[in-house]
Amino acid sequence: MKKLDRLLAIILLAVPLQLTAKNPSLLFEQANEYYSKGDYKLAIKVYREALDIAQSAPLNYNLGNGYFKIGEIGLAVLHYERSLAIDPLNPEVRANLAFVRESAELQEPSYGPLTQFSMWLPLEYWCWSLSIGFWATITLVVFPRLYGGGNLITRLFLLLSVFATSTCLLALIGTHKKAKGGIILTTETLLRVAPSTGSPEAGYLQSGEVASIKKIHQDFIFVELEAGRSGWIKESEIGRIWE
Amino acid sequence: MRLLNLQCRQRCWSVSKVIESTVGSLKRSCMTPKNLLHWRVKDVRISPSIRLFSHSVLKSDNNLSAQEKLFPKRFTLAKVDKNLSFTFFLLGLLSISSISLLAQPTVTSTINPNSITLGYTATYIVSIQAEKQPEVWLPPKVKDLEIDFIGTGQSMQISTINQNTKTIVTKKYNFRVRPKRTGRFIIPTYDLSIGRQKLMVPAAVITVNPPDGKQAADLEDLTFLELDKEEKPTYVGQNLKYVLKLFVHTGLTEVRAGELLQKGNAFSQREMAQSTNSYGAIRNNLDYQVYEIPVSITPLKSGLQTLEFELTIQVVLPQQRQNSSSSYFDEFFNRDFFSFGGFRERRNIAVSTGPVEVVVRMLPEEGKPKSFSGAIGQFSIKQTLSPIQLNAGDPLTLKVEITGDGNFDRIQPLQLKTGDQWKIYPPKSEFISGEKMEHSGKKIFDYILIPQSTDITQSPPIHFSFFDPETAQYVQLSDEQVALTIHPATHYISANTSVTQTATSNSETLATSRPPERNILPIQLLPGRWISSIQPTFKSPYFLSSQLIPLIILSGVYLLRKRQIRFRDDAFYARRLKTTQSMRKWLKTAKEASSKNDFVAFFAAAQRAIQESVGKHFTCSASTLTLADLELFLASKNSNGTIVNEVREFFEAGDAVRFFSGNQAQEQTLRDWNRALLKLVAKLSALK
Repeated sequence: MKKLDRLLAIILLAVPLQLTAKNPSLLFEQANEYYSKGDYKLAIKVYREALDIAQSAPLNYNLGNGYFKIGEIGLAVLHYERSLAIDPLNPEVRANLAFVRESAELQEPSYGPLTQFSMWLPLEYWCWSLSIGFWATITLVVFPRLYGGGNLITRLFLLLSVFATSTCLLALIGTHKKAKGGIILTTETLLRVAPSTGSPEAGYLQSGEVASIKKIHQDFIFVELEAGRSGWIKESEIGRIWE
Repeated sequence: MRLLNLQCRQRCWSVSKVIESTVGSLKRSCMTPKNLLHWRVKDVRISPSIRLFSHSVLKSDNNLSAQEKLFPKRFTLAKVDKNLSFTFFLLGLLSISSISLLAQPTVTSTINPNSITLGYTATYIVSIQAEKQPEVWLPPKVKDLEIDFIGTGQSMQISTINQNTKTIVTKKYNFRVRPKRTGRFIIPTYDLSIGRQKLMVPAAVITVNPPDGKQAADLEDLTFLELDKEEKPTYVGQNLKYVLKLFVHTGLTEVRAGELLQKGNAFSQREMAQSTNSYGAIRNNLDYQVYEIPVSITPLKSGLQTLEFELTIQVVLPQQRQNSSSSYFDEFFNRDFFSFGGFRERRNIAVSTGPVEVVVRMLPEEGKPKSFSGAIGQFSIKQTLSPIQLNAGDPLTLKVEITGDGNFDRIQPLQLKTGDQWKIYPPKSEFISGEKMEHSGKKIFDYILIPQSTDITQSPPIHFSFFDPETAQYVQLSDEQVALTIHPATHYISANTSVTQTATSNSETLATSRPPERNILPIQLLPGRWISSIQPTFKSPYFLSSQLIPLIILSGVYLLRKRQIRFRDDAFYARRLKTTQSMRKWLKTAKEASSKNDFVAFFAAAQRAIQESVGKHFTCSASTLTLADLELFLASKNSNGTIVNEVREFFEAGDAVRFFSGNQAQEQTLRDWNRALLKLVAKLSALK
């Protein structure tokens, strides 16, 4: 009996532990409690544990809030951007990101028209729309000929599908440009002329700035910023929006 | 033949005399009893006890110096009286017995110190090396000498003979000896009982001096420092690895090493390393714990230089109880080792190696390479380049690894001669030490090179030179140049000339980048939809594999539709498909009829199969074809007469069976007819 009791006790203890350990939703709720109590560092720790398991737009948003509360502007911007990457239409994320940039006197990144257009919808919507549009175009191009030629309606549908496919493709190109971006994480990030610690300086970057990653050499990344600034920074000094 | 050091300790055959001898340079061949009588004695140390034994032979005790009274003295054979030859003969005999009796219980007795000042105490120590130990006893009473038991101790002696290590555990019984007058006292021989066995405890002697007598020994005998160095050529700038041996008497329980000072200015010394090795040793009949302290020094001056180390240590001594005339040595041995809470005094002592002469040479000028930067030792070099295909203006990393033993601190970054074709930045240097003294290891230089021209075809040459103290020659190393492919440039960066301004403005910005009082929107309470990672959807395997579904469906519909269209537009194709299907059907029927032995049904089906096999060549229905049509068709195809005859045979046999119950056809079995039908249909189908 004693053995059975012990076994039951172990199971009863282990099951909730395992559920807690593997369920990001529970971690998310737990972190929210810490955040509400003002223990931001602990909240960030638990958010990150959830992040190791899975991603979601609210999780990155809350994490951005947490980092902003402890003054980590770079990480806050990074996680807001990641939240927008998943859910670009979320007004709260956009508002907080704009607020953080304003408070840290960071310039709003001036994305190109394609990138701005791509931000109208989440990336997965663009992808699936492109897929549907592409196959519809194929169908409308190929099958009317097999069935005796298309009529006007068919041609109108073809035109529409071609347009939709092209639009999605352009949006994806815009997303791809943004996906190459990263957020400067550290303050006083030194921009170097060459990927070497002994290299001459080319300037400083501010935490939270958006940089475009061009190439990588060992521990250094060549980045391009607005106003034509470019140079090498350490890989640890930048966080990528997309994995 | 390997020389052995044999130390034997054995009770003397003579009554109440202890002989302790050390014999050096004993050859292995001498280990036989016969040869032992002819051993070569280099030096013999005689303990105070044996000195008593030889007292009458040599000279009177009063003539010995105070130092000689306290410590064993070295004698050479030349100095030994001829009368001592007999003594050595006896020693030889004793050694024979010592080897045979190694496993037997051994008892020794000593008084430490054996010469004290009146008013002080000494310790009478009986050491018993045996499996069973006796109960505590009191030695025989000696007039004017108080003897009290104070405790036991256990010591361990590790001896190595012929690479065989033996651990001998000896239990020591300690008695406090307090003389009441000056003079010489003898604790006589007596027997101890261990079970049924009886052991004889040898006699021990102590000399008690008047209070104004000389005291020669001091604290230096309890702890001292020795320098262990190799006799090799030494050069200025070379890293030398020596070992300091700190001898600490085992009675000193609390010893703390302090600062190590290297006297003089001819050598520079690194920080003292932790003691790496510790072992027991016996010096002058005293037990010591030896701590090896590795030190690394670098000669700074050439010529005959003096090297001396001084180590400050802190020891705990019994507090001085009498006037200052008593020595530390006496204090040490007079203190009550085994009583707790006694008087103790903490004292700092400086122990020194004494001056040691070292000949330091200058590095030779002859043959010194231009690339020599002061490295002395033995080294090897290795280079790694990455990438080897790049654009002009893009960086590549040249990693140079210098591995070996020597003065790595003198190895400077290698000068790469590259001209204007390369832009080189100061390398990142890293030293991975192979040991604590940083004498061996690996030094790595990471160069960032930026090719400026597409004309570059190979990496810059690398030269490294060092001085090998073993061969006293310079060694020049160079690694092969690596082939490179440089493509035209894509990016260029110019250095910012207003770095200070940027930094200032940046720091100002940072000062204002703290979270303001205004707040952000609150957190979201629902976690939303979970996804595995933030990666573009078009990269996910789920999305990519889902694209196969429309591809397969559309392809299937397309192929089906194309077949329909061909079937409609190509009459020959349509007929061919139709007659082929029909032919297969009739062949199957014929086979079934043959299995049922139904001649009528078989030949009807066979005729239809033959008609269908050529039906694709006719626009009319194949079932309407007659034998005449077939003969005409076969004639038009220039087929041989055999096929025509076979077709005719099938038709005629069929008619005979149908109309005349044809016996002729039944002469063959239907299985044979069916086999012939299959061959015929194959031939007809092959006609074009």
